[in-house]
Amino acid sequence: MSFNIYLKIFLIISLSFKIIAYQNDFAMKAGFALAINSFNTLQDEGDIKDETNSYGAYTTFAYRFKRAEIGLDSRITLGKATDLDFEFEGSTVTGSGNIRLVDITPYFRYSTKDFKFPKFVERLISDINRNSWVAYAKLGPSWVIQTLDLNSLNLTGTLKQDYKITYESFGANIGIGIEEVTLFKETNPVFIEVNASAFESYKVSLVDKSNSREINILSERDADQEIKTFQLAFIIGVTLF
Amino acid sequence: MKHIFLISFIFINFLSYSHNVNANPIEDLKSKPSREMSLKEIKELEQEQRGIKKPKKSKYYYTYIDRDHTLEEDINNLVAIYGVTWAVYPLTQPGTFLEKGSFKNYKKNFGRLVFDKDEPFWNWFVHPISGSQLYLFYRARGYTKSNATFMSFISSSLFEFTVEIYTEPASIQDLYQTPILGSALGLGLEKLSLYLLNSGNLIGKTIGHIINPSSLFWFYEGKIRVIPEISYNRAGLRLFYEF
Repeated sequence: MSFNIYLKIFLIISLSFKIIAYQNDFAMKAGFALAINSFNTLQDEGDIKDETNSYGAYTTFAYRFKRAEIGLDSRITLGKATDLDFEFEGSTVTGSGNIRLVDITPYFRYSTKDFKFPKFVERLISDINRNSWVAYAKLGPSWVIQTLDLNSLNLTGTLKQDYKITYESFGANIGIGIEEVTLFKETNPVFIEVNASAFESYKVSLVDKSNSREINILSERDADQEIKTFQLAFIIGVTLF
Repeated sequence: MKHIFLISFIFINFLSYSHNVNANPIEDLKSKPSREMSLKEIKELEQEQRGIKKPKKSKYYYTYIDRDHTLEEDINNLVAIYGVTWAVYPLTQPGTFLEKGSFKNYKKNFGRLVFDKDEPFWNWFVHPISGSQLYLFYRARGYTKSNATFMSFISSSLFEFTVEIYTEPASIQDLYQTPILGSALGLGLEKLSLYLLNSGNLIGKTIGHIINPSSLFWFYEGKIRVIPEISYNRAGLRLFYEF
């Protein structure tokens, strides 16, 4: 199908029904996120990529107008990293462990008018049309902290434990999704979202975490574009209140 | 001075007769001239003959009653929490406060906003627990769930930008995670604590108060006094709400 047909379908859906959801109110949503992260291996060889699957929690607190919504959202995802091999301050770092990614994203969201799924979809998923749905698109800038919490760091021959490396990055986040339309948010409308983010690092820190109550930042420096990350996240959640 | 207003007085009549509840007290009553006995006396006599002990005091029912707040109330609540954070921070983290804290640091950290490098235990456990208690405080004061989250957000931001900077700069994660993850956790604690507090058993009530300490204090507005009213020909409940 051509772009025009997609555009027509989108416009027909957008203009075909009257929205009845709550409006001019705050909403708190939470859900589960499954993410695929892809990032370069920090060796100035842009085509070398590592991929990890991660999972975690998604939360958002937003203010909804009639069709627009502004808010803050965050994904906290955890993944496993194996055989990492990269440069850090002129030293080779190798190791395996966990990768944690936390982002904070202020966003603007705009929804279509509500619609019902076609009959053949309803037959596949029973009760899907009990309520109407809206489709939406959202975007916003994203601030991210990525933590490489390795079991042991091999820092050019010297094995160091209880160290972690954190990258602070900045990027953008876009998402599309569908959300159930209910008259009251207390009935916990469901939403499903696909979310894509791209970040570039701007600062890196080596952290001694041997004392969990009092972390010690051993070194910190600018890290412009040292690590570039792309994250594709699938989110399913509900409006809590 | 504490003002007590009776804002709710609900009397539900649902029992219009009690002929065949218990034959003996009725028979007994028939032997006495009914005009000589009040309804209360009849009730007591009936309970006594049926072996029902008189309750020592009325039972409280725990709930949340959402209401609107004036700007003055909002400011008072924020100021109260702000004062508490100044007291609680050095008490809960005396080592950090004494070793790292100084007015020189306060000046240096003022207005700075960074990603902290803390361990997940702090960011995903301790801060959300703090946030949940903020949320439950504002819920106890009669704020709606959304407004309680918003007020927690303001309180948490005030703490990050004007209290914690005595030792370290304000943290981006804490600004978000304390009120938002805290409110999600607080919602769960709220529902669980209400279930336990209204369960009627001592262990349940104790645990309910531990996970939701705001329910213990005078500022908790959702404690409703329920007084059963049973008389010869009707029964009902009186609900009292104090604020």
